[in-house]
Amino acid sequence: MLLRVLALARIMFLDGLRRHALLGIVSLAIAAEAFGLLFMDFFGRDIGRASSDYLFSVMWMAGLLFLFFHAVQVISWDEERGAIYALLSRPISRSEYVLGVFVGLSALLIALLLLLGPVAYLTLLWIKKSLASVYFPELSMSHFLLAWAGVLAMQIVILAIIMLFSGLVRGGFPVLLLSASYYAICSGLPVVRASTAQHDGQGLNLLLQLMTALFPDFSRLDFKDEVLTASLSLDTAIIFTNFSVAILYACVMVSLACWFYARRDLQ
Amino acid sequence: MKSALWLASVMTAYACVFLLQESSATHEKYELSPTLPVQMQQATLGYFQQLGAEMLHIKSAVFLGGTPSGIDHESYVDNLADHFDAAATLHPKLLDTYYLAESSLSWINSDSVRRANHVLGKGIEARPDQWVLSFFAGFNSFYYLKEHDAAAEHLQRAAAVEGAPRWVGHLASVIAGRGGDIYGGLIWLRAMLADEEDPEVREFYENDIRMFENALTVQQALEQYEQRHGALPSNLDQLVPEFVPAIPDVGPDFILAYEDQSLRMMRP
Amino acid sequence: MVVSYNQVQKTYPKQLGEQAKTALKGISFHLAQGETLGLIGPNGAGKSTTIRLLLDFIRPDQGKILLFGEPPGNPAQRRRIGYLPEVPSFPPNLTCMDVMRFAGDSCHMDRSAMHVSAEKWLTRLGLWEARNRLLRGFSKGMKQRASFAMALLHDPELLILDEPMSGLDPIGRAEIVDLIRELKAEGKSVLFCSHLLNDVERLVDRVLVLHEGMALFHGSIDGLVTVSGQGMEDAFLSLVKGRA
Repeated sequence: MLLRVLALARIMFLDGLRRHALLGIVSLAIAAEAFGLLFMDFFGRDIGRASSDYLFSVMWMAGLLFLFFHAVQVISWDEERGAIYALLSRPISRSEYVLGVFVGLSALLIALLLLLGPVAYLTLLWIKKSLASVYFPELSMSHFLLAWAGVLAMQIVILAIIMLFSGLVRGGFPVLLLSASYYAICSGLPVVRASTAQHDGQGLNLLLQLMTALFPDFSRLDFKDEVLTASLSLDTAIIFTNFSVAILYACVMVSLACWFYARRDLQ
Repeated sequence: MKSALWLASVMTAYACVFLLQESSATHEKYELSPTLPVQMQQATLGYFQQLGAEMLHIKSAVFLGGTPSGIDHESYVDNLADHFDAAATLHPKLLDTYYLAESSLSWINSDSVRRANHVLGKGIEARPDQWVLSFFAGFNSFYYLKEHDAAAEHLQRAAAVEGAPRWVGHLASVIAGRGGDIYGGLIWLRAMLADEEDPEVREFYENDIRMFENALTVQQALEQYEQRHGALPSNLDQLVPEFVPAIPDVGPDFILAYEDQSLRMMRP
Repeated sequence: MVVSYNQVQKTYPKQLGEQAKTALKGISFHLAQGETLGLIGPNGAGKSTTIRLLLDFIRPDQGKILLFGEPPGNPAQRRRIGYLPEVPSFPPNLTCMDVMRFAGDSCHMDRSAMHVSAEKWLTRLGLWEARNRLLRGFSKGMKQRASFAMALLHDPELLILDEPMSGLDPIGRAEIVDLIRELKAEGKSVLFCSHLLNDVERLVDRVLVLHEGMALFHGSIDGLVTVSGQGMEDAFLSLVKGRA
């Protein structure tokens, strides 16, 4: 099974890697990261923080562009073009197909972030070296890696959801709409929870908690603020728990995607 | 040929209409567009929250950098304060928000000072390592709002931060005294003396402590007078000699002032 | 039996703005080992549906399908099948060798065996020189031949060919006809779907005529001609028109 999944993942990876649109996203993202050297000029005090926020936002945006303009359409493209028949006429199950697509797209996402991450870090190093220490006192590589891993984990979760929606509905556009709506709910739900936390309604708070299980709070994987600290402000156990929740959530969603896709007629 | 003529005429028509539009457009009113409610921004920005705060900072800075001379500052101050409030909520750790808020809001009117302090409060909570934010709040309370108690509290908090200059703590004591909290000022001076190793600075603190202790005897005399007579005296001479042998000398650095039935340590 | 259909029915569910469509109305047929069966019928007869059911792309509403004696839901059975779709399509940014490698890996072929087989079939089909070109630059005929190579790579027992001559010039068609004859001679079972009745007549042992989801005839070519007393094309037309 692993060999078949990896075989499919390989062609998904190669196909994505050679897409001009994705090369465009990479070029745009690198240019945007280089712009960080100018972005810092807008700030007079917390230059390190502003630069770090900007660079991580660029990585996040590049990943979102990849997810919402490429990943949402992969399965629907295969179906619309008929490539799905060539692929599934091989001894590959529907579940292995979904897993293969997921692994291939994850590999592309990791490749994207492996390219943008070092560029971002080197940009931050350059900025730090060009300033007095009061404007950029601390830059921790391990904490940078933690924040980078947080970005990757969030994007893998969104990719898992895209797989689920791709397994449920036909067509790239409906998957895009559903995925965008999902992301909007995930962004807004913590704000609602914070607003209602002071009220006594236990039922409402419980409902919102259950909804958070379905629409995870991405801010729990946002470690941007830690990049500029010498020591972590969060407990390691909490960080480990947050990553574990993300990984398990992605596993559940991909498993559901496999289950639904295995039961669907291909058209 | 026809298509070239068509293209030329359409482009000419566009240029004419555009110039007409530009000539009728007025740019008299220099204004800052309002910001969305912060909860809406939090919900929509998601991972970009911090970047959203930085964009609000840039927007505010660009606006302030271009204000024409003679502009009515009160026309934009509420809107500007909303921007800083939103930025501080979205990204409480960004220092630039607080520096810009302090420099642009605190001097306009008393409401804007309070809003500046409200914004600074978020920074004080998020960045307890930054003494300067409490110092800003203390300065605003002392200089603009004349709220000495609040000012002393802010400055004491600033002085307690590691790396804060020594003069901040001393300033807190002086302002506490000026505000009528002589006992609070004295406690703070004694705490600073306990931590100080430099003999010259120690002498400086010891001198101030003596002056504050002298003033405290008058404070205690006032309390005793009130206990006896049910009201505070109208002037300090009424305390002599029954409650205090003489009004002590607290100079040359201070003078004792009795204003609004409150004893204060003022600078001469 | 390699393939067996027994009273298979399939209805496509109602879509927005469309009626539900019954594509197969209880058809039955079989394909024996080493046999070549031609699947013919006008557009919308149910030929593609029949093939898709066999490959588990869709599932029947009623009836029973057996592939190598088992229901077609087990993907491992497709190790024994080579499928040539009507419209060959691949992820566009792959090369021919990428697709061959994927086909080999999916069947757990040894890498060296895969290379030998890929070279054999790509050379036979005139694509060896173009093996490292991106498929999006291939003509329709080249894609058809690449798809054929992919179907033959792992030496399958059953070939399902859906319009194998589509997009080929007369020389290419003749080459494919020769190839299919060779594969038949090797003992492979072939399910062959085509609109070109001349090719069907030349290659198949038996024929299944479909029209509007029903099997009008299942038997030998001679039987079809004998029943109607006409040539194959006339026999086919009279069957279909008689039913229409």
